[in-house]
Amino acid sequence: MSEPAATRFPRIVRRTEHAHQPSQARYVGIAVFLGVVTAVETAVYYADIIKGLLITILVFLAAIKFATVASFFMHLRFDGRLLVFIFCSGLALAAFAFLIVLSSMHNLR
Amino acid sequence: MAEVAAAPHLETTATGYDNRKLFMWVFLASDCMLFGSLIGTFLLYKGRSLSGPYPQDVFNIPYTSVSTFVLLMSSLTMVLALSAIQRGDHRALRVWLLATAFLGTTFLGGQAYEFTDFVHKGLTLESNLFGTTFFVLTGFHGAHVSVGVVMLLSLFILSVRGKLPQSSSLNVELVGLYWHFVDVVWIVIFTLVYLIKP
Amino acid sequence: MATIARPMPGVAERPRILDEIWSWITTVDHKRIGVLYLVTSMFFFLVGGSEALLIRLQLAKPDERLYSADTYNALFTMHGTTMIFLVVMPMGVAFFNFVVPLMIGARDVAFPRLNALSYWIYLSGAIFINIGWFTGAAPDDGWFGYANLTSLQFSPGHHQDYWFAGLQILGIASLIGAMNFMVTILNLRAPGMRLMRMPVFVWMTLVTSVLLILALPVISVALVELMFDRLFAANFFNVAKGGDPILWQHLFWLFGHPEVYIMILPAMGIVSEILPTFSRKPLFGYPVVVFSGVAIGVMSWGVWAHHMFTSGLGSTANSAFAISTMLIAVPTGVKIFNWLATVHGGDVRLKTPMYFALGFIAMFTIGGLSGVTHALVPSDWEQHQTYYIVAHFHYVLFGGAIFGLFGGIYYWFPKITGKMLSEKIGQLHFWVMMFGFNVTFGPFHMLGLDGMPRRIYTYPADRGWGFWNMVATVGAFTIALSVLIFLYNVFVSLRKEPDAGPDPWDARTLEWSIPSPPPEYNFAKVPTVQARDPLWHAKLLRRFSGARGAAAAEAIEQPAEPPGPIHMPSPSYYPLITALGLPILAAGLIYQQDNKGLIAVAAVGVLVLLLGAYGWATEPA
Repeated sequence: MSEPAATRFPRIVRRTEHAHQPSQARYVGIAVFLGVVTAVETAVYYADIIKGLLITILVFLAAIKFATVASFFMHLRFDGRLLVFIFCSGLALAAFAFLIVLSSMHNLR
Repeated sequence: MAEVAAAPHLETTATGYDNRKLFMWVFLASDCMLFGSLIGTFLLYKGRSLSGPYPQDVFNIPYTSVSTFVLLMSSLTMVLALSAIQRGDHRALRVWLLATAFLGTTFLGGQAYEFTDFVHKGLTLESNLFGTTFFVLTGFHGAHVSVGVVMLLSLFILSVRGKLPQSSSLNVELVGLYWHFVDVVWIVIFTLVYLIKP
Repeated sequence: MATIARPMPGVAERPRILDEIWSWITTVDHKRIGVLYLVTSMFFFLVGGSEALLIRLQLAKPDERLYSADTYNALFTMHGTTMIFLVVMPMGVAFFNFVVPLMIGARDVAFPRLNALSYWIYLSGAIFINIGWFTGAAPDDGWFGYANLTSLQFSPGHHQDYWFAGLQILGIASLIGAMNFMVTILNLRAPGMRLMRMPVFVWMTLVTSVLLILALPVISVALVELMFDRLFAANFFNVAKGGDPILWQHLFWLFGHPEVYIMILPAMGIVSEILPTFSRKPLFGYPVVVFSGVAIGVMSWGVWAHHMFTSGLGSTANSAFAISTMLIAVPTGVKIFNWLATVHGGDVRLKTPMYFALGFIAMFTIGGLSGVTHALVPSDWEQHQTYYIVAHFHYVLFGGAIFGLFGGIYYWFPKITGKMLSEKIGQLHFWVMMFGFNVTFGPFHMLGLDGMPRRIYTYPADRGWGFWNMVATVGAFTIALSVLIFLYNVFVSLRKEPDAGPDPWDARTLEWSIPSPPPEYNFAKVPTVQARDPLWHAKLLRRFSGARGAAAAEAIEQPAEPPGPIHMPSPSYYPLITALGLPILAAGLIYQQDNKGLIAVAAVGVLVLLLGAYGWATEPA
């Protein structure tokens, strides 16, 4: 059977699609956002709240910063799914493995 | 690499990603496991030191949050550098590369000062579990930042010598990916090591 | 590097052997790097095998005192370390190197110089980890180096320093190689070679590479923590300061369990290539076999603590890991059934590769069955630390991985050298090895259930273990005889004239569409793939589908000469130079314990690394 799909494959290496690029102003805005979140984290550190809530808020804020840098600065939001999958696999596995190690050694508080 | 008869100068790959870009992301996934193991070790031993100094004896949160801010801003300058070379603005590229290297070095200087301060307060590699796990984890991160600074300065020198044309923007992108990853690891470390009290 | 074209008076011609050696040292050709890996790993197979024979001599009789307990500890440590890291893993990589680019229709791997670097780092790590034999300080705390036995307090001297540094170096080689292969497989496939048309061996290479990429950093960290404890008085495993040796076990086995799948998946891939070819029938259930391989890879992350059932994790953790361990047997079993269904009803040709593939199925099944018995916590509590476990892993790693790898050697030897290995001697090799292997490791099941512990250098006469131990020793020497038969086969076959041709097995995959040995550029014309088993597909089209079939077959068939010039990557000596930096750095780190000034050696190592990298980055393409 002849293969019309052969014309799709291999794919030409993607040049960065400039249309998808955030502008410089956008980048600065994102950086300001990150700075604000950091300030909030520091403030929360001093807040007098129960430990469980403190940890939840701090982890949540860290995750927001992580996702922001990964999506916009590392361009994952505009790149394809394969790269997201590769990176998230490493991340997810690291989280999974060490959550199990920590819980098996009675360390999750 | 396979030749393409119609347009021999165009690179082709089966996924559409340049080999080096794919390699860098694979490397970063691997590095997640590296830092995951170091952070896992730190968290396991958190609160288990038999003697001091303890985190609350040595940490200066406002100081470290400034350091964190510096590293975050270096990610901004990095992405501005990439934007510059993609536009063909080589002068801006060099300015932003230098700025990133400068901010990275500032971060390292801040770490060095912090470490020295901790050592004076009695926290060393040998003192207790906290000292061991803290210095090895942040030390590895610092080593990653240092390698990053070397790569940034190498790009700067290449650009100054006219060997970093707009068509080579991938090189800046790759160093950028590495640099942002190092920043992102610090985001995790800052939260789990510094901000979460035992 | 000029060679003199004709003899001039008064000037001697440079011996060609030096040019030949230089070409091997600077090669970046995946085919040559594959051969380097194969020869080196085969050499270390003899080293590890000799260590095994020395062990068997000691254990043949009760109360034997051929060597001290310390020497015995070094023997079993180095036997395990050698076989795992210097033989099975690199032999798999030898096939990844030689075969994978050919199977996907590529001219080389994605990063040829990085590929060479992996080999040279492997070689330097292999030598480094064996230095202790010559300095009286061979590693002797087991291949798994449990903390805190490995601490400076309980393991003084340099034994464990060579161990952690050598392993760290070897890990870097494997990591770089794995990343290279992952990018190669994802990116360099020929047109039409969709993922679900790739040979199963390529799929298994991909899964193995992903496992390596994610698992190696964990053992790297474990080794770094051990290094900091030993060299810089850190407290990772220092019980006096609150350190927990169980941490070592978690980190080690988080790597260690994926590691055993890293060792077996390539051999499973080889078997998946051999069985269809010699049954003249496509692989039964290709998508299921691929999916099972991926499933094994994913699930391998969920079972590691079954190596720790006796470490006191508690019944919740133990039960969870017992269940996950039983579950991982499922995809493995699925593969076995698919292999059997492939052979069933086929036009089976019993050639040496097929013998080893069938032997793999039988021996691996036995090893898998004993493995399932370990999954049950109560029975594992009886089996742990006994020879029953030794039986299990030798059945899967020798009867499985090594048999599969030998099958691969017999299968691809004609492609690599252009010559067939002798079929008669090959079958003799197989049967002697099969017999010797079972005579050696079969008794270990009995010895283990009878209570014989692992890692003991002798045992008393009143235990009744003497008989089976003697039998096992006879078996071990029979294995050695079979290896000699194999080496003789290689020697005799290499001396023949080339007799293989491009496709001696009437095979299915792209590597058989090019000459044997392949030209430097692999494919004169990049093939366009239209189906799984693309070569069978092309051959059938040409025979049965008339003009339309002939046109389609031409997309795979290779012209005698390439239509135009093909630029291949230039050779380079920078991978070798860069690789040398690592053992120098390691030596400096280790010996500065004895003499602080030797930290300068470490600095030299870093310098060599940097210079190598700089030269690499700046040399012309």
